[in-house]
Amino acid sequence: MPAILSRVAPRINYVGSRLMASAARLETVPREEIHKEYDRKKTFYHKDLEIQLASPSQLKTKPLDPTKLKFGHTYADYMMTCDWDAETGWHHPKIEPIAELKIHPGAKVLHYASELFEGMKAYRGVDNKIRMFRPEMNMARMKRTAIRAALPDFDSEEMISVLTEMLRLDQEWVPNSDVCSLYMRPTLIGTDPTLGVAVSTEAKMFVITGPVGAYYSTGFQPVSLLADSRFIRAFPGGVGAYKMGCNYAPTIWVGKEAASKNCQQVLWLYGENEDLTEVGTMNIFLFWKNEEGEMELITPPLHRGLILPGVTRDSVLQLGREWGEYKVTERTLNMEEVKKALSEKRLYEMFGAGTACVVSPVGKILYHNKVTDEYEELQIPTMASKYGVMQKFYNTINDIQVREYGRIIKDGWMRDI
Amino acid sequence: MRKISSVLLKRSITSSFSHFSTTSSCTRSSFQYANLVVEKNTKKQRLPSDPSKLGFGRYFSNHMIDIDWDVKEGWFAPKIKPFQNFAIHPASKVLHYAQQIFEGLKAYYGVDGKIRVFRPELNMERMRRSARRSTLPDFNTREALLLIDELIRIDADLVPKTDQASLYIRPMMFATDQHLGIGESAQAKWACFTAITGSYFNYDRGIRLLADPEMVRSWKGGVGQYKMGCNYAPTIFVGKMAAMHDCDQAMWLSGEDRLVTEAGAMNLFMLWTNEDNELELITPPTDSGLLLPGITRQSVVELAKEWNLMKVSETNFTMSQLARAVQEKRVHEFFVSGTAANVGPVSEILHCDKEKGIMEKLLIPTMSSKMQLYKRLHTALSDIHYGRIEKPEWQRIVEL
Repeated sequence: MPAILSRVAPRINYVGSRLMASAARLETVPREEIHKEYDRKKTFYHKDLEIQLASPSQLKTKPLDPTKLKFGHTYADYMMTCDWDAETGWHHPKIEPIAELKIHPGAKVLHYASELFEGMKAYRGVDNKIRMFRPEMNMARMKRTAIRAALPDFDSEEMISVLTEMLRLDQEWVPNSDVCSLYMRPTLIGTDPTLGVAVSTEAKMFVITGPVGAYYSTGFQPVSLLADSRFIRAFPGGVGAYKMGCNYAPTIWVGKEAASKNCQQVLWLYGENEDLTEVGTMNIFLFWKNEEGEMELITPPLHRGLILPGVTRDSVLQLGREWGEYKVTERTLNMEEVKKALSEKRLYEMFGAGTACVVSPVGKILYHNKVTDEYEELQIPTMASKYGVMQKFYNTINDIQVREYGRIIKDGWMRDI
Repeated sequence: MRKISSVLLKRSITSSFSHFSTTSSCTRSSFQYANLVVEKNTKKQRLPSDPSKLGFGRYFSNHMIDIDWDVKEGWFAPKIKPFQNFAIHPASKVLHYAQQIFEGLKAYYGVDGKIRVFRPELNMERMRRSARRSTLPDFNTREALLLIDELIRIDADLVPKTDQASLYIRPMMFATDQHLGIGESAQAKWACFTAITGSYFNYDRGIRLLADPEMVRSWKGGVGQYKMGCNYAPTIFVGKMAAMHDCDQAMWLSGEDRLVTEAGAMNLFMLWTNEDNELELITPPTDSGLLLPGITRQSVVELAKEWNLMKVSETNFTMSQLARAVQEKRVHEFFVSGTAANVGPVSEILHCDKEKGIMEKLLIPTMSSKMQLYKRLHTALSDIHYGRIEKPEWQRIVEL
């Protein structure tokens, strides 16, 4: 797939040199304004934003105890929408009270899954300021996904400015708690009302937000995973590395299979060697002593296109490398290696990493052995680990997100509203 | 049938006064035709007079079926109502996690003035299999067919009176649960609408396919054999790549050995002299789970077996077998099959395999083949569609 993408890559590169030349001449113009030309074929603009304020009756009551909120059950008052069509490009972005979308029955999103999304969060720090966590990472991924999904591209910073505006309006929805946050869901759908399986000539960007509660109000809850290579999440030449809706639909039935075997999540394996790829909708990390006797944090690599490049994954890798306490490696890892390390008591921690809960400890793997066609129960000692690697990532990322305002412990990761 | 229709008309009048009266008729195992509520559309669709201008899926009829489902209540009473936009909550699972399935089938206006639907029970059976894999609710095939009959009946005047066009029927089901958690949906919608449709391809020059193993449609352990929306989204970009190479569709190869599986959203067939020097019509088997078990595909296999002109096999073949056979002039015809396309000849396959350093253009003599099998199949299917040939078990007649 990278080869295919490189062929269209020029589309997303800004034409920089000409603009730089004009910047030199117009020194009095503020830098941001000459940074880009106004071109609605390329992006929507924050300055075109139209805001329709909610009437008092449209404003909803905020939940009393945000820590009890389940994921994705409560939504804030406003949503952002922005239409696009191939002829005019992007229309004006709008922020308006959340309402049902009018969608043509023939719209491609309802038939051919012409859709993609992002998941990101805004936090209220202990200084009462609202901040987003690395939003430019989500926007960069959303742009990559849009190209692969043949949906329109846009400018990250324009989108982040619009999101900021939304957060200003819905600021009371950002929970006043150091364990809760406001989940944000930017979504892009193909709305072209014709039935051909083809590039959509119409699209809609929308964003909804909602407060989410604490994942670990009673401490970490280790999860059990079903590992069965008869089910697959992604494959080479597919779209596993993109946050397209189509990657999720096939997993729901497998999730149900897992639940029927008392597993909360699926450990996605790939190929003959049963390589570990992802866990549920999170990236996977392993902390172990490798065969050479080195302490090592390991996660599968991105290059085969089987794995979503998670923002939390990237943050964990960066922090781990900065700390320099152990070796940090991105490499392919299979079930055989995991089983061997377990039997030799070299595997200390296994955890998922994602936006929803930062980290999620693995307590057990129910492994379907394809040779014997039997299930094997593998106990993972994450919770009993004396190294506290996962715990340190959780504390640090949580500190960056809500506690350590004022002290720059990670330059550029938090974006103030 | 007349009797039910008048009952339905009466029901539609009463229903406009009491919108909530329908909730009492919820059913668990399937929606029921007997509970149908009809609201007629007063506006009429305008159509181009020239059937060649219709295109595919651009002009919709006046009515649609809309049925809601809820995990607690089961199926609500089905409605036929004026064709209109859905109101969908922005958090609905269908918009985020692609929880959606669909079908495609056609109704044809026959030479005898009867409207025939081609093997619709096979579509409904496949839709139910897709529903199960998507954790969407099951329904009864017969009830669905009765509702589709009724939808066609109401818009019967829109079924094109020409064998150059047909009424494309698009049943669909999607998850409407408004919670963002990834999981089974507690609500769903079953809907169906129709589109007045011309031909899908211009067949005059034959179809050109791009075969590039870097682009993969499905994989063992995935959902390639189900008509789920998620199988289509990744192919749109690939279709764009194909167009850049001046090809009409992608031909999907699978795995290290480059098995030939599908072309675009269609099944494929090859008429060749195989390695054992037998004349053989070959199509990849569906038990691999890599390709959609097409109804036109099944019909072509059944017809060809009936005709008994050659060996008919559902067997895998690889891209290298295909390329070698083309070079040795053993490939006589290569064609695609699908509801939208019927049977369409392939004239060219552009084979790019970067890993193996291959870049070759394979010319397929389909259109100049002596046997003209694709044309005979196209004609036979078309004759059955438009009632020139009687094959009652393949033709569901919509009583008007």
